[in-house]
Amino acid sequence: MLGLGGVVMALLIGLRYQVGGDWIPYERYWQIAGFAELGDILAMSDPAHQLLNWLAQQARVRVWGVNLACGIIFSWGLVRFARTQFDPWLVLVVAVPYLVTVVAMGYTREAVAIGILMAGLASLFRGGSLVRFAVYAVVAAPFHKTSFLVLPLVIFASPTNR
Amino acid sequence: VNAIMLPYLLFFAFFAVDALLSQARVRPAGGGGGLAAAEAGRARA
Repeated sequence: MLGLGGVVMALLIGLRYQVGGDWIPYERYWQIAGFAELGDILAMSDPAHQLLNWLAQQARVRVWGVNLACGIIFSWGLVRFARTQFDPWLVLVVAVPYLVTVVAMGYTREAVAIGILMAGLASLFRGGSLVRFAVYAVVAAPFHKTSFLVLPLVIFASPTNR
Repeated sequence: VNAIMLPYLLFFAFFAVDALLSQARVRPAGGGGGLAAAEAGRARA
């Protein structure tokens, strides 16, 4: 049932049209990916997002393809995180007004990074190591470089390091 | 209702249905039902 909620959330985020404060810049990134070389695109900031734009252009899919891929990753992370909490559905309800509506629909790259970091937090809550969480942060970094900033916070939040 | 509220209402409906279903699952066994019984059910699960 929670998985169905995740699918609905991914569709809501991914299939939006002209929604979000950064809609125009993201559409421009997608347009640039249509005529620029892959190497040049990857040299830009946040290469994983640029790669998604390039793949969408290769597949002849418009910017919603990129948004849907990002929405799926974000929703997966959120649902994984929610499963570790006492009331998973309450987590999703609380996430909708800001994290989903503003962040996931407005700042696509940040949302993917947050989704991957939430999946990492879920792994940490299930007894995973800090090294494992660091791997999640490294995977999130190509979507948004600020993901690394979470690492010191988690080290301080860990009960064994207080 | 503003369109931007629809996702919130949708997920609130999911949450409410899940809460009702978990109460319904707990009530026949516990007899009393209520939030405490639901919490006990979750703890058992």
